[in-house]
This record gives sequence, structure tokens and C-alpha cells, in this order.
Amino acid sequence: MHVSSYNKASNDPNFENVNSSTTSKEKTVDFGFQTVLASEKAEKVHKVFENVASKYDLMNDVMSVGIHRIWKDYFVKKMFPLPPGTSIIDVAGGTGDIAFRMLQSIERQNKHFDVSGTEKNSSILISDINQAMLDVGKERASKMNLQSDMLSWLCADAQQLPLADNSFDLYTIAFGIRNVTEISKALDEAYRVLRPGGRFLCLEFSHVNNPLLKQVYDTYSFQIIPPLGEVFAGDWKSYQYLVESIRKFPTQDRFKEMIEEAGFRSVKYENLSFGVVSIHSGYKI
Amino acid sequence: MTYRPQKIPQLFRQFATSTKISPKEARENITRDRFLRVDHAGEVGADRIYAGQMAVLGKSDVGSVIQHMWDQEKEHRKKFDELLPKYRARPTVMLPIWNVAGFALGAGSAMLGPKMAMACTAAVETVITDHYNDQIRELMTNPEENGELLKVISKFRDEEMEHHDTAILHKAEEAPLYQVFAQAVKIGCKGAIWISERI
Amino acid sequence: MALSGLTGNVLFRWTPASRYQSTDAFTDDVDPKETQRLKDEETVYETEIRHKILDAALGYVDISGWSKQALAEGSESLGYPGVAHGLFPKGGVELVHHFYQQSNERLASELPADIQEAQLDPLKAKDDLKILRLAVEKRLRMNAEHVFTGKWTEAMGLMALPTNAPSSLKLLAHLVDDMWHHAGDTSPDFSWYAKRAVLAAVYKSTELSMMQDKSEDFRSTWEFLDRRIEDVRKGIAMAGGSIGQMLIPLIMQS
Repeated sequence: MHVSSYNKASNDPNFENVNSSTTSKEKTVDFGFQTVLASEKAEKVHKVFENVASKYDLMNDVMSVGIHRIWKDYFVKKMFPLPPGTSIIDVAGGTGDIAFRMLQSIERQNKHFDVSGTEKNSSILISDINQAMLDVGKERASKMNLQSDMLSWLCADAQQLPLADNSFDLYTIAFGIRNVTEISKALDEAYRVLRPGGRFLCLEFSHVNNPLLKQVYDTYSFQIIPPLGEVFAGDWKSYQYLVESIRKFPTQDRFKEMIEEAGFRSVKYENLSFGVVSIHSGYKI
Repeated sequence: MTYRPQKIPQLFRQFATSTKISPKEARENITRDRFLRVDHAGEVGADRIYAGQMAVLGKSDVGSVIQHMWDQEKEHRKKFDELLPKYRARPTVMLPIWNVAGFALGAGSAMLGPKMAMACTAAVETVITDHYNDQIRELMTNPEENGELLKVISKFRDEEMEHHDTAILHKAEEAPLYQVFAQAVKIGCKGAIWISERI
Repeated sequence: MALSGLTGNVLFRWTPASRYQSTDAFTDDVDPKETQRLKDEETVYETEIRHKILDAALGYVDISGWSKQALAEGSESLGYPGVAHGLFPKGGVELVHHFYQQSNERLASELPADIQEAQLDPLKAKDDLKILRLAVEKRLRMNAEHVFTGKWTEAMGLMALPTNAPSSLKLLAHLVDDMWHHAGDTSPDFSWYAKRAVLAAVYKSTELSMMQDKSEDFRSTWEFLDRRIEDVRKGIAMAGGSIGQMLIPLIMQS
């Protein structure tokens, strides 16, 4: 039983995406359904997002029929009310999808609660490994007329943030952790940069457990999404990677355990849309 | 995977009356509460079954045998009447129903003759003995804390076993359709236990 | 990276859950008792922090109400970031329940002394209604500060919401059970439920009357309570001595 589970490991989402390879000394990781050397994944992912950056938002709308907006709104709603002076880091948030939502909610909230001008304002640091994505985000920010003094931008790897320990109250990562080479390293970094009592929030594609819905979902993912990618963005491969990487991501429960292994407590998750995506939340307490 | 923190704490938070007690104590309290409730219900039921049998067969030649068993069951019931408030366990909501159902089962089987009454006793006591044995096994994981309960339940288990043997001795197995009847009674008893543990 | 122990005055320690897990796929060598013990330890630690935050948040109820806002302010006062209010996903009602639970515990620990002081004896059957009268008043007085600020109506509203009602009822059930226990109740039959139901009705109606009470020191509330207790006494007398029997005509009529 032990042996067979080993052979299955590469296809089983219960296993981490890092498998110790027996043939070569170097670590291998999953890149979609392919297995690549750990050192290669970052580059490959980088290429994917460089390709899709300009069409990123359009494609999100097309593929999820607009539901991704509801997921993101709900995700942001979960952290409110945000007291003034909260420092937030939004990792893998290049196009600013989450950060802008937070910013607008903070403005709305401050209007509602009538926070006096003497209070320190909250700040959001948007970090992404990909400069192309950050550029898209910056452009959008200037178009949207946002209160940009609350925003700052950083091009950095989630596994190695060039930031001090205990410096943030809230760490968010939406649809990003899946693409990190080693998930556990990113989680360790999240734990490191958060202050005691700080919150980790992750929105990510997950696994549909209902067998009937799963079939529908699988058909849609494998038969429809890559062609859509070809039609709208002229890029089949990147979207093929997208759906494959979702299947490779750990299950809700396994991911929860991984978050606990990083040291977080009170870890809980919530499924949205029958588990197509899930929100994991944990605290550094 | 070995570690699943979510399930247990929720359970414990829901039932813990005091935040000062440890999760372990809370778990043990829930178990004890459940045991006491179902045991009390069982003894009330047994008491009523014998009462029903006595109402029909009191004057027959097996009357004294049943009376002896009934007296012991009354003792059991009294003991659990004391233990329930002592450990702050609540009685089962179904008590009034067990009251009636027990009497009906006792009187009904007795009307079909003394052998049938004994068959009923044998079936009921088999289930109760098994049930007590299960409890003893679980309580033995922490014999120091559960000393009193263990003593009481072990003693009662022995007496219930005696009742079963007495019933067999009085030709319970010669009752018509013994196997069918015994199975039906056993299933009924197990259902009652299942319900009493929960509400 | 000094991550264990106290950082500033904030309680915080680093013990990753991975220490419970064996590194290979075989789980046979995991001692279940030890795993359970460690899990319990974790639960206690987490509960402790949650209670610290809740206790601190109670101080902000006057201004912010029973809300996430109060929870955020409470966590900030302890040195945690305000986002820690997410530890209480149900929000304000968790604060209400915490307060309720705390008051219940206080009642249970202080009641025996009060009973002695009032020279009542739980073992005497005659005294039980007097003890209950004393207990209900004592418990309701614990809500007084929130009644004054007008926040208790909000709390009662939150507790009555369908999603919160089950745990609210459980707290009320524990409360009346405590009261009857201290009044010397040992009933092992169905009257156990009847007694608690009657007392819960008395408690709840008096609590409601307290909301509208503008008299000094809630005098009219205590008069209301006296009348309810008197009703119960009369009911028992009419039914021939027991609350269980008193309920029977009520059930038959309905």
C-alpha cells in the first residue's frame, strides 16, 4: 500500500507539489501535469504570466463568466472592518485586483465611520514576482483615480520577501500561491513577515468534491478554457497550464494542514461555488 | 493524516459549560453524561417491564422469581436516580415514553404466557449486558476518574447477566418463535438506547 | 528569528502543527494519546487568547456595541492587530455569548455563598422558590450596566437571530440548570424538563420587563419577578405539589 501510494503521489493532490526525485539529486516540482526541475518552474510560470498579463482581466471575466468578481468581493469583505493604520501586504497581486477592492472598501468604511484625519491611514503593499503584471496594475491604478498614497509596489518572490520580520497585520494572496515553486516556503515567509496576531488570507482555486459537479467542472476546464484562451488571448498553452495547475494544487484539507505546519493557528477554510475556489484563513497567534 | 484540530474543539466548545475545564475533562463529562442518561433510561425501562410482567403473572408460580429480579431493578433505578443529579446529567426526554413502552412490553409478553415473559427478559438482558460491557470498556481508559461509575456498572452488569441466566433456566428458549421474538425485542432495545444516548 | 515567547506584551508562540505528524506515510508509530494531549494543549492555548481578546473587547461595547468593531478595538488594546477580529467569524454575537457565559459562571460560583447569607437551605423543599427568586435577580443585575447604556436590547436581538438561537438557548438552558441545581433539585424524571422550562420562562419574561423599566434600581422589575414566582407557587399548589403535574393541564389545553 505504501509503495502504490508513492507511485500515485504525482497525481494525488493530497501530496505536496514537491516530490523528492529518486533519479536526480535536484528537486522536481509540478508544472501543470508535467514534472519539471524546481529551478525551471519559476521561469516557466513567469513566461505564462508575461504572456497573459495584458489580457488577464478580460480572460478572468470570460473564463469564470464574471464570477471571479464575486469571489474577490467576498474575499475582501471577509477582512472588514479594517481599523485605521492596518498594514497590508497583497502578495501575487500584480494587477491590483484585490488591492483596489480593499482600497475602495477602506475609503467607503472611513466615510461611514468618520475616521478623523489624525488617524494613521492603512497602507497596502502590492507585491508580485512579475514586473509585467505590476505594470498592468500601475496603469489601472492611474486610470481608476485611486488614493494612491496608500499603495506601494514591490517586485519580489513570495518565497523570499525582502521585508522585515513582524511588519504586516494582514497577508493576502489571491490566485497566486498555486504558482509559487514551493508553497511551504511561501507560507513560511508569510508567517515571518506577519506581526503576532496577524492574519493570513488566501483565495485559491480548489477541489470540487461533489462527483456530479466535478464532471461538469472538469469538462469545462479541459475542453473549454484552453480554446477560450486561444480565441481571446491567442494563447492555448498558458491556459492549459492554468487548469492543470489547479488540479495539482493540494486539497482544502491538505492545504489547511500545510498552513498549520507553517505555524499558523485557528486555520479554517470556506468553500465558494462548491469548492471551485476556497478561502483559507489563519492567524499568527 | 494524524492531525485534525477542527472537529474536536468545536464539539467541546459547544458543550462545555465552563471555560475553566480542560478539553479532556469536557470530553469525559460528555461521555459520562451520555452514559448516565442512557443507563438511567434503561433501568427505568427494565423496572417498568418487570412491573408489567408482575401485573399479569404476579400470582403465578414464576411470580416470586420475577419479584426477585424486579426488586434488584428497583435498586438499580434508585442508584441512577441518585447519580443523575450528582453528576448533573439530565434524564432523557423520552422517559415518559419508555415508561409506557416498558410496561406494555412486560405486560404484553406476560399475557402470552410465562415462557414468553422469560424470553422477553432474556432478550432485554442480553442487550443490556452487552451495552454495559461496552461502557465498561470505554470507562476503563481512565479507571481512576471513573471509579464510582465503574463499580456501579460492573455490579449491575453482573446482576443483569444473572437475570438472563434465570430467564433461560425458566425455559425462555422454549417459547414459540423464540428467535424471531428475541430479535425483535433486541432491535427495539438497541433503538431505545440509541435514542436515549442522544436526546 | 526569535519567534517564541513574548513579543512586546503580546502573547504568542511558535509551535508548528508539523510536530504532530510523522514524516513518512506510516501512521502506526504515532501515539494517539500523545497526539490528543498536544491537540488539547493547542485548544487551550487558542481558547485562552480568544478569551483575552473577548474580555478586552467587552470594555468597548459601550461605544461600539456588540460588533466586530468592538472586537477589533479589543484586540488592538492587547497589542494584536485589529484584523484579529476575524478570529470570531460570527462577529458581535460571539461577544454577547462570551458575556453571557461569563456571567453564568460568576453566578454559579457566587450563588452558594449568597444562599447561605440569605439563610436559605437548598435541602428544604420550601425554600427552592426563594432561592430561584434570589438567583434570577442576581443574574439579571449582571446585565444592568448594558441595560443602562441601552446595549442589552441589541444583544438580545443578536441572540435571537435564527443562526445564533441554538447556542443562545443552550446558554439559557445551562443558566436555569445551574439555578435549579443550587436550589437543591434532584429530580430524575420528566419534571427535570418542566422545572427548567418554567424557570426559563420566568427568567426571559423578567429580562424583557427589565428592558422597559425606568424605575429606580429596577424596582418594578423585581416586583414583576415576585409576581411571576408567585404564579409558579400557585400553579404548583393547584397541581398538587409538583411542577411536572402543573404542566400537564397546560399541555392538555394547548
